[in-house]
Amino acid sequence: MHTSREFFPFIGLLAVISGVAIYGYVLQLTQGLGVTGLNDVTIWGIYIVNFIFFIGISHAGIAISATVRLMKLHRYHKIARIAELLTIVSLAMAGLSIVIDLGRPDRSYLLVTQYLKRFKFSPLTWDITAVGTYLTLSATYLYLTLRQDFKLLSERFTGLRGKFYGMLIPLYEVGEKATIDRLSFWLSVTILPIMVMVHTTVAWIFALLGSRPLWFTAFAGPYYIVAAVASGLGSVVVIAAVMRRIYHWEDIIEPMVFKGLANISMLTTLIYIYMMMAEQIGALYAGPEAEFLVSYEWIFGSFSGLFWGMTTLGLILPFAFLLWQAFKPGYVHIEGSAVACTILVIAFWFKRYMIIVPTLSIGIQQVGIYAPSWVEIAIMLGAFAIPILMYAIITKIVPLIELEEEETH
Amino acid sequence: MTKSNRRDFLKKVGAVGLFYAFNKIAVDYKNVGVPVLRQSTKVQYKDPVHGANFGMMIDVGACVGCRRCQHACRLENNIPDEPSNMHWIDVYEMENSTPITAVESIPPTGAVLDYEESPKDDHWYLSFNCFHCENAPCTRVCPTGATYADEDGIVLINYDLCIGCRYCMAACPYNARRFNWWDPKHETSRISPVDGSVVVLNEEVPLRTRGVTEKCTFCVHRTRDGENPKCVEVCPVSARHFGDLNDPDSEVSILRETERTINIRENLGTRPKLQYFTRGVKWNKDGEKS
Repeated sequence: MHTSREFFPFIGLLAVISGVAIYGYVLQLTQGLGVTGLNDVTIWGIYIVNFIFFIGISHAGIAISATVRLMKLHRYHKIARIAELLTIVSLAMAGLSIVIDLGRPDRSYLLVTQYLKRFKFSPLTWDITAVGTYLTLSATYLYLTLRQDFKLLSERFTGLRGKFYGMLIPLYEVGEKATIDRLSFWLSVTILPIMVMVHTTVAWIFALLGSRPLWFTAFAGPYYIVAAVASGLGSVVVIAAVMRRIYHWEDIIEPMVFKGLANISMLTTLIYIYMMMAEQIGALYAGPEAEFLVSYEWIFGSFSGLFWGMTTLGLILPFAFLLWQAFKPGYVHIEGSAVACTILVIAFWFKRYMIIVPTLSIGIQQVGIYAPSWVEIAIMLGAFAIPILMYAIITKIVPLIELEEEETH
Repeated sequence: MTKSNRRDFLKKVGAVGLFYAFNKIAVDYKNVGVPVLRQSTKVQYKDPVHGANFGMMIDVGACVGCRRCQHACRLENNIPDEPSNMHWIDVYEMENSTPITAVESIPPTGAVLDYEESPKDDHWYLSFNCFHCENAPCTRVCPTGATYADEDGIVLINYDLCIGCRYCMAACPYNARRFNWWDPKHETSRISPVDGSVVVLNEEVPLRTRGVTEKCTFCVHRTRDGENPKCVEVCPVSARHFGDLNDPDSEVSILRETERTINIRENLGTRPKLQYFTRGVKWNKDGEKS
């Protein structure tokens, strides 16, 4: 694949941001979590927000790919691998976010060694189960579909590169494509329900704590899944649009693909706004004291600027644009959709912030007021730079458009 | 100070000094830039008392908010003054217009933590530590089993299993758990703010490290030997009562029978074993009953 001159400064910038983030983490590791803005009342902050956010993003990838395979939506096939890679990268970042949040990351092996004793009780272990299964199946799925391409690449290149691709496909057999297609089909069937479970268990980490206002709700699972689909498909639109521009895939990825994805993102955003309204009206009108206070702070109190900014500029504005686009038959504005989806994804990050922080810190005058420290913000920026960096490097190794598809053009 | 007392004291200082010599090495390693996350000291908890179920009762009407329990607890349980101002017992100054039955969250809305004088007229004091719930949400959610309810009903933490995810703190409805955000800075001896005496590090209580959760243990090293927790011992108005709820003749059992008990956040079904009651006695500024 051709590497343009702009690639290296871009990678350099990302590497610098990642470097600052790593320095911040070394500070946190050597001095303790006190370098963050967290305290004994607001115990979770940006790291957990990032965790939910990345789990949400991870949904889009395999969902698209598996749906495409099961429903035979060939038009979307070309962005399937872009989306699958997004799943793997963001799942890795979600796991990393949890480790960053731990007070004793040196003991994280205990999550595995104590697993059998605790999986009956702790929602966190359910989440480890679900995310672990999802990551394993997704990676297997991606690798199986990649084998055919690696084979083609190992034949195309001679010398070291050809050998490298040859090493990636041990035990290759000539007629294995039929078997792999069958395997991938059944993997898709398995992955779709697991995908639903992953975000439901993430929601249960919070929704099973009976004492926490606005977390303890029966519809947390659906609520989180809707946000995951909206932000996940939104980020696929953004990444696919960027890739299409950089690598000149105007002929390969049809414009209508973007419209289809943006439409689903738009619809799920609408459902999300509706659910948010349903939640708030209950808490404001008849909620118990704690629930009322949190809701009041969201809508009228100290978090109202964030809430209204997030809802109007972040959700309703892009929604209006995408709705307008959806009602014009045969019309798609790719750049516009990409910008709208970027705003949506950012808004959903702030929505996760709204979920975590107010519930923990409301009603406390003297202790517990949370403001992220520079270390947290640096690590957060790094948590976005590192996956983009990983993604940019992987694109240099892995063919992003399935090769057979490329050849038919 | 008699001769034998002095010898005991010197022995203690020596032991603490030896202990610190060992820890010093770890600290030095850290200074070279190697992130050494020190292990906690391997002090074992005493064996649980068979057939017991420990509980505590606090007379909110009697409490004058002097915070002697808080300071005594810090000295007894090796809670350092630096770098963070951590307490296992918090005392909130409450307005009389907010009755204890209206406390829906901890810290309570509108409560004052850093009050400067007490007792004040028209105020009462809500003092609390870990509630040692029979149906504890914190022990259920722990992903490594570091926190657990022991046979005698005391909720404890194995500091060597804690990974610092703070899930138990999110689950605790009473905000009774504390986290070591920094390296705790222990001093070999401290001067008690209550009576000015010199108090050395307690060797029966394990030292916590950075990155783990801690909380009230009902002074497990004392109560399993049949003593009262330190906070109960030092309370000047006998607002705190401690005992075995399974023993019908214990003080707490009798109080449970005779007084009207109040549980905070009862609707959550945690069945706390730190319960409140009041005999309707309030203390005024001059320390007289009114």
